[in-house]
Amino acid sequence: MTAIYIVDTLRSPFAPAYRGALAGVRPDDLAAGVIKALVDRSGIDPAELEDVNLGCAFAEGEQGLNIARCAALIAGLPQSVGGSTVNRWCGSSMQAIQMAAGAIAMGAGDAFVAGGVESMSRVPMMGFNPMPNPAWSDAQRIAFLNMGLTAENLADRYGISREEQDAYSLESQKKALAARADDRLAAEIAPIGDVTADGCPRETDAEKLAGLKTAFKAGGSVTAGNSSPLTDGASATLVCSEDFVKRHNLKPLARISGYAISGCAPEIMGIGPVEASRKALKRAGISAGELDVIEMNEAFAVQVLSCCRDLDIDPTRLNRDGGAIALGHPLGATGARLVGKASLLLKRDGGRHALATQCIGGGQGIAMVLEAA
Amino acid sequence: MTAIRKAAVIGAGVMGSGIAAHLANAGLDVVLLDMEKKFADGGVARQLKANGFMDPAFASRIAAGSTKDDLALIADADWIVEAVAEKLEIKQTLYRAIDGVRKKGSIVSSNTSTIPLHSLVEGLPAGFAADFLITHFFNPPRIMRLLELVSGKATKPEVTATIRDFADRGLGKSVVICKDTPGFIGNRIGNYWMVVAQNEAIELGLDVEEADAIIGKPFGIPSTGIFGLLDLVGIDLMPTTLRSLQNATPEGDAVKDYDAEPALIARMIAENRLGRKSGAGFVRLSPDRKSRDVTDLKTGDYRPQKAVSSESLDASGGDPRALMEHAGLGGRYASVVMEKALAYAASLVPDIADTPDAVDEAMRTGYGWKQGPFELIDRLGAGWLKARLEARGVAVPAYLSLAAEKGGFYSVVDGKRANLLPDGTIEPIVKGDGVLLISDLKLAGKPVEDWGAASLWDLGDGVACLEFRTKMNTYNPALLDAINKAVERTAKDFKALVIGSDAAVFSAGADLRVFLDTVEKGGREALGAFIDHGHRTFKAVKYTPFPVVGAAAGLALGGGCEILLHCDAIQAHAELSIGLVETRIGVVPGWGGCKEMMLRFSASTAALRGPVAPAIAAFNLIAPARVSASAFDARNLGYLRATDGITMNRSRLIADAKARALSLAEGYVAPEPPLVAMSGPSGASAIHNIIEGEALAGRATVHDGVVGRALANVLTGGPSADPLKPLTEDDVIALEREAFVDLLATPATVDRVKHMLPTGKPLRN
Repeated sequence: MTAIYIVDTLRSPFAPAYRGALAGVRPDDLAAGVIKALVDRSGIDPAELEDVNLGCAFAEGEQGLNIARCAALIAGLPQSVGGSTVNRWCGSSMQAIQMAAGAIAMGAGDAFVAGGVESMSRVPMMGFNPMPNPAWSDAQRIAFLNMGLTAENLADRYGISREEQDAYSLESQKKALAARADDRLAAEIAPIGDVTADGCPRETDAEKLAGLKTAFKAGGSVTAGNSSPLTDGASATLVCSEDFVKRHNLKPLARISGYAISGCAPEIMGIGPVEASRKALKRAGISAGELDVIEMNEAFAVQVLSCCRDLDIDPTRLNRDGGAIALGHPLGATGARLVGKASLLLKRDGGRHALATQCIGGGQGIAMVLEAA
Repeated sequence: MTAIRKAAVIGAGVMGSGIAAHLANAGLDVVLLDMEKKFADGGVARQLKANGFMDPAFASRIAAGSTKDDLALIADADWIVEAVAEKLEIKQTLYRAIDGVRKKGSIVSSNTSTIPLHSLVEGLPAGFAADFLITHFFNPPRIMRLLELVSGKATKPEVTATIRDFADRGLGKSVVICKDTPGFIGNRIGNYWMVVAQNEAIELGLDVEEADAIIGKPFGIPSTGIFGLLDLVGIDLMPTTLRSLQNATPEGDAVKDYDAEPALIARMIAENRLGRKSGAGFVRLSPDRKSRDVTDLKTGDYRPQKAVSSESLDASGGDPRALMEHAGLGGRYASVVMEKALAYAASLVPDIADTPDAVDEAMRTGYGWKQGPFELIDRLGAGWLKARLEARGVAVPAYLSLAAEKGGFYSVVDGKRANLLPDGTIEPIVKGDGVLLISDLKLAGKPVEDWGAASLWDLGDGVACLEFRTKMNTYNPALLDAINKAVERTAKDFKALVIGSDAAVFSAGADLRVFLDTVEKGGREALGAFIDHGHRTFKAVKYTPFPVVGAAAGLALGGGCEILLHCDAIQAHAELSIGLVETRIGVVPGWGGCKEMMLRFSASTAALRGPVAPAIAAFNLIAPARVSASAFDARNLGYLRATDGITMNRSRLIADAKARALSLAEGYVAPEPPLVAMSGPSGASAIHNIIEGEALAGRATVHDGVVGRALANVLTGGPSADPLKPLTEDDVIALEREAFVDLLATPATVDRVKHMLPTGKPLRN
């Protein structure tokens, strides 16, 4: 099988939904801006691209009409390049990368743009017309739709306190603010209009976090401060075959060495990364201890903390520049940010193996293992 | 007249920023300048926080800047309002700068309350003085209706006319033309009344509780009385204001008889007891934060608040004349304060205003008095008051003597209210074009029909007006009958119907007592019949062969909102509080409110459509009982359609509604009954998820969940509904009825109703 590479990656600034700088930007325009910047700087002839795979969790309204095709055309890619919208909720854009890699593996193309987009300002979470099956019990439906309560369930099962969650979240904010201050994030950001920097990270402290009300369960522990915020953003990676890389003398960031999906109980969907990561690591032929870089989505602090316990993860290798609690979690765009970030960190900080993983509502985990190129 | 399209306000303090916000409410682009841009930005932020905007989005109509960098921004303003510090030099320097950049024909006004107009324009170019006047707003400018307008000798008449007209129609103000005299009308009389009420209470050693109870409600004065009002405006402000007034008023003016800063007030200021702004004034929250303390006027110390106890008040039964005649302490207090204040007012016409009506209007709209001083005198009897003053040995103003002789300051001539002028002539009060009040129709004649619970008036031009007349305009079977009769009578003799009145409340909804009594006496069946009665009535309103326009002002809650939703159009006063608030008493809207909101949201072009989106939008409005903060907000919430009109001036509402009705009458065809698309159980499932999320998060009670599920059932069409099979209006109405009757059979809903009745507050069970 041919080796498959993450050649490059870019994302838009991530901005808080509704009040942030990207709330007024249509999601197809947002995605197109990132795709165009990525393709332009790659120097490749866009006509050589096979397809654009874009993840999007709620692909309706302005995110409907096969947004991947819309964004590809808006980005000015040749009409010959395809466009496919991918939905695996929060795992959508990591799935988009897998689909590109899978196509390359079967010889169905050499170069793909794979990424994702979500304007949580312009299309609400769960969409405009959620219509869950009425035959489901209340408990089933809540487990499927109410992410905050699944986080509360994990807090109960793993006995993770409010203080631990808040401390983890404060750390995430500090790391993101430091990364932004040191200009460590600019390399991954394509400006959208005059928006050049992330809008979500915020100065806070333990006292402020401790003072927040719980958002989902009276007497619980999950708050707006220890959860990822609603976010607008887009991300993209350039995924190419070994042959393509050589032919064009590209300098890839990382090689995809493993991938897995794994279902779990919907009411504790946040634990999804555990089994998915185990499977992906096994397929890559490495152990968790060999990982130099870990990018795990921070849907909720409690969910990351639970996964870290089960996976025995070294905290110094986890989310070095902050995670989604600070940076934001535009559902469909997060997976490609994680894979892109893990690849960039292998290049920037050195190391051989990286893991990008995330939990998915409805009870799934997704994981991709990368090796330095 | 110049059209006012763009305005500038200079000075972004409490008043300047409030005026700017209200100009934005009127749809103008506004430049707001202060010494530094950050102060102007701060002014906008202050107004956002203080609800100075009728819609927060209007803040974007304001461009903030600084006088040193951005004065050029005012170059294309049609009206420039100055609201800077009350220092003549500062104002005049600014006027010269303004005059250098303003466009030809622009109007400049000052919001001063203490500097005479002739001083403001002294030494300034003649062209400036010709375009200059005083526009004195009251705080907060959005809410207080009074605008005192003072023109100078040099002011061009068209300048005054332009601002008068715009302030009336555009800003909704009650414009009172004042003379260039100290304190104009409102503050001249208001401050005198305040110092007399304050100092006499201290002198007599009254309890704060008794003083406020006596000097407030019996005279139609806000229940804050005197000390509550002082706490509100700031106790430290009074001595400054009074001294300024004492210095400015002519020799012998009665305001000079009172100490501007009695020892108690000086002590309170020294102790930072300034009223609400410092957290302690005549009243404060006790240190345990569970009760209130009140300043003892004799010792100046705090003591626990007590219930009002007044022999005089009890004996008088609240009648102002009986109160003033009572020999007790309270009676003596009422008598000295009101006799002096009313005599003072009578002594000031025509010096401060041409007519009693102008003075009364200023006190009603600037100080919230239900009746102005001259109306109060007429109520008490001018002759009676004259005799009281004589007995007290106080000089009787000649104007009061004249009124005593003529039988009062007001009379009705040819069906119109008329003023007694100081020269003895009687002059009808002329209202502006487009001011139409039911109270004026009452003076002129009788209603077309009077059913007790409601009356039908002839507005002219073939338009009838249905005036509700129950308590808070609540619905009972008699009012529902009257509405049906009004529809029949209008069909026979008129071409359109307006529903509305002069009342402060459009309708507070159904009379809850009727619900309880109906259920107690007749059970579910009787309640169902009452609901059906309302359904039939509102359906009749919707499908009349003539247009019906709802003239909505004040509160329109529950059934009050529902009848408006059934009208062809709504003409709303800008300060409308409208909402379907039925969940507060544990029921769902039962008179077509659910159905009409589903139709509105299904047809809305603002929201993305789909099978369940309208139901979720309606649920998010009805379940939390959201009430609009203005008519503009009501439009955002969905109660008003984009085509519904908004009137800024309350006195013009009925006329605007009539005009709307006439515009619809030509070729009017009753609407075809629409079908209502419903999302069915899948949509209900989505709403159940919202309900359970709120319950688990502790934001909804158990009974909120029960009511919410009943509401979800109505809004999604019930268990057999399907997105591909729309329902008829009657189908939805049947669901509303069922939900309503079922909920009123639950003890928790009955508890909510029983709690709401005496307290007016929702029970969270």
